[in-house]
Amino acid sequence: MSQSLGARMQGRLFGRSLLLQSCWNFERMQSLGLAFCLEPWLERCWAGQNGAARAARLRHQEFFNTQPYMASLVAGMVCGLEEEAAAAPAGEPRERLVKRLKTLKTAAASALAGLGDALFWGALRPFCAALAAAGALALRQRPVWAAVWAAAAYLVVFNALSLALRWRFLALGYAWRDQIAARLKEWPLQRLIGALRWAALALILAAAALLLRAALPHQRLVGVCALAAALLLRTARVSAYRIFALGLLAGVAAAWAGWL
Amino acid sequence: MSALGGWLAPVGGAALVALVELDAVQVGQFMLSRPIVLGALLGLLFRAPQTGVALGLCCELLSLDDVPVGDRLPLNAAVAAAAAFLLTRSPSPLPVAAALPAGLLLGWAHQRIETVLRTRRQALCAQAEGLVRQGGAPRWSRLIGRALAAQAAATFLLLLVGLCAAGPALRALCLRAPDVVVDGFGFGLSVAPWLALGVALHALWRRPA
Repeated sequence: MSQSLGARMQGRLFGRSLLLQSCWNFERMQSLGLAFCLEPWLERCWAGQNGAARAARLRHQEFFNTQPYMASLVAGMVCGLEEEAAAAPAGEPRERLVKRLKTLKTAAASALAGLGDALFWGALRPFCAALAAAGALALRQRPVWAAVWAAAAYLVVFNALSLALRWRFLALGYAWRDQIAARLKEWPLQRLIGALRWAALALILAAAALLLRAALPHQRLVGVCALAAALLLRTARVSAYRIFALGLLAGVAAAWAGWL
Repeated sequence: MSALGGWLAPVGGAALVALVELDAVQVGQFMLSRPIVLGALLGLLFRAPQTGVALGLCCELLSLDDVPVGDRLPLNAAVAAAAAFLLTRSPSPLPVAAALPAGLLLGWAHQRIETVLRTRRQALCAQAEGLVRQGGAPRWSRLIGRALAAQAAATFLLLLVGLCAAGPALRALCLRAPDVVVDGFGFGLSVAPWLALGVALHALWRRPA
């Protein structure tokens, strides 16, 4: 059994993993994308065993869904477990390994989805948005630089972390296999999530301060009231877009009443 | 000729957005399709960086709480920001105060269309499985190509309809709109960044999921 995927194979799997959600659908979600991603590895593992290769292809077309960036970890793990199954003698031992593979794949997908959502959607994305927003507001006197900052800061920070993790996760998933949950606990991911969210909060407050400084005196009170109203309405579970629509309606009502 | 030339840039922009929108879910997810990035890039491309950043920023912060978990499909913020921006740059341009709500409506329409596309994509699973059961391998380039082409074409058509039909109609409506509505929408635009910041603060204040 090999110790690593090999750089060439890892590159192929990584490239294909970027299309994980290309065929996303409500019935089987990411299953086709995962099957596409694993294809070169399955071809290598099950070379010369047509029936077993077909069964392997079919089992990865079953329902699958996880956070797209964490899918690399699951894909790496599946590669390792498929290799073990292919190396086992046909019959009951192999069936047992395949059953274990299916169970681990489902369990890892669910567990990693929660962690990935909190890390990438709940922390890194808001942090990048807040960084881009605060920088763009600070550079508002130079619109071209504000636009360059907004795009570059977001893309560089987000992709530096997410692409590095997606690449590394393939190798780690392969190496860790059924130890994914235990080994991932050793990583300070919860601390990273907390730090990113606090930094994002500080940046959003800085953006609010910059907006306040740029506003005309009579706009400041209106702006702060609008911010407080949005906070309250979101707490009451009113959607962001409805809050914006309410802002428009409030504007029309204020104009009709002659307050503007 | 000049009228056609005037439409060429926004229609070209719509084609570009249709390709970049694939990044939102289907290809890579490099965040090129996030409203603030897309708005800034379109702003630089069309030499209106301030408008691009302002519209992108509002859509970005308003959509910060929209997490694409499981089968949840939120309003398409990339289409919303891009449509709002392109509506301000078309030969019959909309004022920014009207373009932002119009863009958000197009983002909502895209969400509806994408629901249909995702449902239709289920047929690809049966096709791929059928080929494997027959002893072959799925024709991945064809399967993935079809899924991506359908998504890009739908986005492009929606933006085209928004720019070429809804845009001029809304402009005519804006020109005839009573002052109360114009002033009200102007007020709505002026408080939009504050509302968006409030939404973002709420998203960050809560404990992470």
